[in-house]
Amino acid sequence: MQDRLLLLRQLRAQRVTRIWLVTSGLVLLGLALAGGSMRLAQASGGNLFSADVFYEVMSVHGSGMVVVGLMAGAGVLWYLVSNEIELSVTLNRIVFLLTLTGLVMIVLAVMVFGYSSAWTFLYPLPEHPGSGTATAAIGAAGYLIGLALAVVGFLLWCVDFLRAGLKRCGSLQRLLGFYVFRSAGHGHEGENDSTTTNPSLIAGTVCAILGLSACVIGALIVVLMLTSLVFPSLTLNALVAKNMIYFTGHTLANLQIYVAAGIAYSVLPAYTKRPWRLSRALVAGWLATLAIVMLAFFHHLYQDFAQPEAVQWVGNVVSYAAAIPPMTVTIYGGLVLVWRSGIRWSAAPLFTLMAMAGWAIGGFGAVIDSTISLNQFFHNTLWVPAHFHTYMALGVMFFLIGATYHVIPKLTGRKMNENVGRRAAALMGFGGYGLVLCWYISGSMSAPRRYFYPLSGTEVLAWIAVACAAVALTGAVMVCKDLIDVFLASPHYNLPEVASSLELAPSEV
Amino acid sequence: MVAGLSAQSLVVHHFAHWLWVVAGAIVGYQFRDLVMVPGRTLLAWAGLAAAFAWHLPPLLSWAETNQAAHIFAHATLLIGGGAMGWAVPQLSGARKAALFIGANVVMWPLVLAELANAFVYPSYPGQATTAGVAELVAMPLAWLVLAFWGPLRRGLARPGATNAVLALFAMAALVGWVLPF
Amino acid sequence: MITYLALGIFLAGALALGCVFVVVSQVARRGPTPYPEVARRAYRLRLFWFFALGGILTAAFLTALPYVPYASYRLASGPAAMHVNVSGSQYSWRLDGTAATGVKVDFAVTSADVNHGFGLYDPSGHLVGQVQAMPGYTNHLVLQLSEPGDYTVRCLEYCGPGHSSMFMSLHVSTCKTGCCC
Repeated sequence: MQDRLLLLRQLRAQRVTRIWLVTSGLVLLGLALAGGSMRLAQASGGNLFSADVFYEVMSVHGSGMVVVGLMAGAGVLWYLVSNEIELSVTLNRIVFLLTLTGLVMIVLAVMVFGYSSAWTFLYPLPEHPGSGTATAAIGAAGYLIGLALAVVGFLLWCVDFLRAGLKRCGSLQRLLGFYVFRSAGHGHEGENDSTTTNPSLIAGTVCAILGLSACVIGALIVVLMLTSLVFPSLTLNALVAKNMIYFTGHTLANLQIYVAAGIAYSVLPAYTKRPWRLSRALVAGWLATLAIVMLAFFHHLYQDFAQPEAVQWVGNVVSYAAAIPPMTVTIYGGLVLVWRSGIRWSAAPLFTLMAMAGWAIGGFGAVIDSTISLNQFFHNTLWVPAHFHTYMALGVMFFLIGATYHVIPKLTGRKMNENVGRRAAALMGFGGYGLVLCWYISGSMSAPRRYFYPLSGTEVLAWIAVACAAVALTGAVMVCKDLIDVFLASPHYNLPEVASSLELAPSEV
Repeated sequence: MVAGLSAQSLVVHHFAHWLWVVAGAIVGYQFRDLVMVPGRTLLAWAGLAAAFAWHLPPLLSWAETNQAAHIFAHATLLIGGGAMGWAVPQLSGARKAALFIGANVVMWPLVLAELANAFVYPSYPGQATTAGVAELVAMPLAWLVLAFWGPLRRGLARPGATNAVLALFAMAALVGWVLPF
Repeated sequence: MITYLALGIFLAGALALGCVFVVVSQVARRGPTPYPEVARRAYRLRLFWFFALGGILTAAFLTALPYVPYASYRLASGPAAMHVNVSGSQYSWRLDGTAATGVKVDFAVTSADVNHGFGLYDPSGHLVGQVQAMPGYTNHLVLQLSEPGDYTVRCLEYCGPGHSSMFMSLHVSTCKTGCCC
């Protein structure tokens, strides 16, 4: 009976993760194509579509990428640790529905009611959108409510993760792996049933704690801005609002890479046949990450001279420190794991390795931008989208694609096409780095970001970027098509052989 | 001395409040196995709420301008600390985690409001941002304490350790309140 | 131009990182070598890498320290000789005052409606300084300009669909001795 319940749970987890993966894959591809159209519109000097439409597309692209990128990673991480901790499948389905509903509301708010105040929704822009659209206020309200739904969805994910983790391990210290500091050697001797041995669990816990803080602040600022929208006499302090928005936005966007790192801890060992074990460095690195990610958001406010100078320095120091855990624990550990392992570079480990490179390179661009004295020349230029697209598109997305190639056989019993995967990796690698290189160069030439047309002298770079984006998007389409084909061709669920004797009705799953 | 510095500096005043809470917690800890009443979780959260409530400008101003309110504030901090010291050791790991994470989550809006000068403390004009920075520094320190809680607790559990800490507190309080500058 | 130096450093670093990954990916196909042997050497090397990275970041931080744009740093060596009041609104700038080369110019920047970004571009199209224009706040950007000519003021903080069209020209004259007001 116990086996049957466990199997049912596993199959339900499979099913919900498959739906997560396929839906997020389609949505992310759509958003990437929207991003490509923005690049084309900019290069064409504003001739493709109007400024209103351009900034509406920009608002959808930014919001969607952060929301869906984070939730897709969270969904995969959920699946990878669901055998270790008893996560709630029902809650995961609720989170999926909330995220999707939130995204649909955001899209409607933008496309139908004309919201165009970007995913950073800096107060009081949603109230004064400057677009002349009659339905802008409804659009703003719809956008904020949609965002709130997505934020509540992630909040529930975080709460469930912590609940299940604490149920297994009994305390936060054991869940975060602190026992390694009491053990001799590298800290493995202290393991027992109630301690976590899985680095993915530690990564997920840290992300859940950070996500919880970010979502609570996010929900608070959304409620305050909605109230201000309905009662215009209630005004907010613009600097407080900016701090709250960047705390939420930066943390949630940043969490994408840390969730992805948690996934990598489970993916890479499967291909190197070497375990990724807990160590003092790993546990200390994640504890440091907890503090670092909470405090780094101040680097968005360097040019707000009204901020206390002390927190500007906190932002600079912490943003520099943010480089250390990835470069000495996760990325370094990943390189060590593959070194002389006899690995065959199939799509899953290949994309994962490429993602680590993107993380390292994008992180380097971020460290440069997070230097206060350089930020005065790079802030809000194209350097900013350059580094975060390196991080996100060539980091997070590659991690997610690698994870997809890894989990799809488990979820469906069918493998994705390896040749398609490797070809797509080459296209997305060359196209992606070409795209961001054009941005880095344009940013160093002081070209502003979020401009409808290219700054004089950067027109050629804009067209080269379009060509590179087209190459990268071709790879993305190939991967997505393969994913859909496998999903459509696979059976209802992937029963392990030993369970084939159990008679399960489809309605039970 | 502490009273004088607290009147001039909001950071010192917040730190003094924190000392009241810690002193209460140490006392409460001694009674964790002696007093058995239900509602530990609720009391732990109430203690936390008492510690945070006095960050809010209207309450702090009330305590600054009204002597009875001031005594009441210190009493709630001491009792709130005592409630936490008594209740927290007996909570399950999950409830302790919820309390700790909840404290961090609630801290953030307070810190951000102080940093951006949205909180105005009439008795401490222009000092909200410095207080916000101090609280910002305190948060990672709190995480470090959590990380090293095992060794810390073992240290405190040694015979005489708690008495020594209490004696240190009592002496510091005496010196701090008696010294004129 | 500092941005080109930063770009050069970035490209060199990115290339180096890329080479590391390519080399590792090729060596990874060899073996398999027993993992404990690999791990032992690698984690000894990591300690060295940790300190090297920390050293590089510390050196970079200290090198960049003197060039911080905050008014308190830039006015430390003397007050501004010229003052320009700047107000941004959807989608135009209002500038009240004049600027000249060779002296400190204090741009007092605010916004009449939403967040804008005051970005000053020199005649060759490079950004020489920026500051946020925020409703309810006046931020001071202190610059000493070396090149006379027609500068461009651009909005650098997304403020609505007209964001890209929010720019204007500012003529910066050559400062003659005894006349910079």
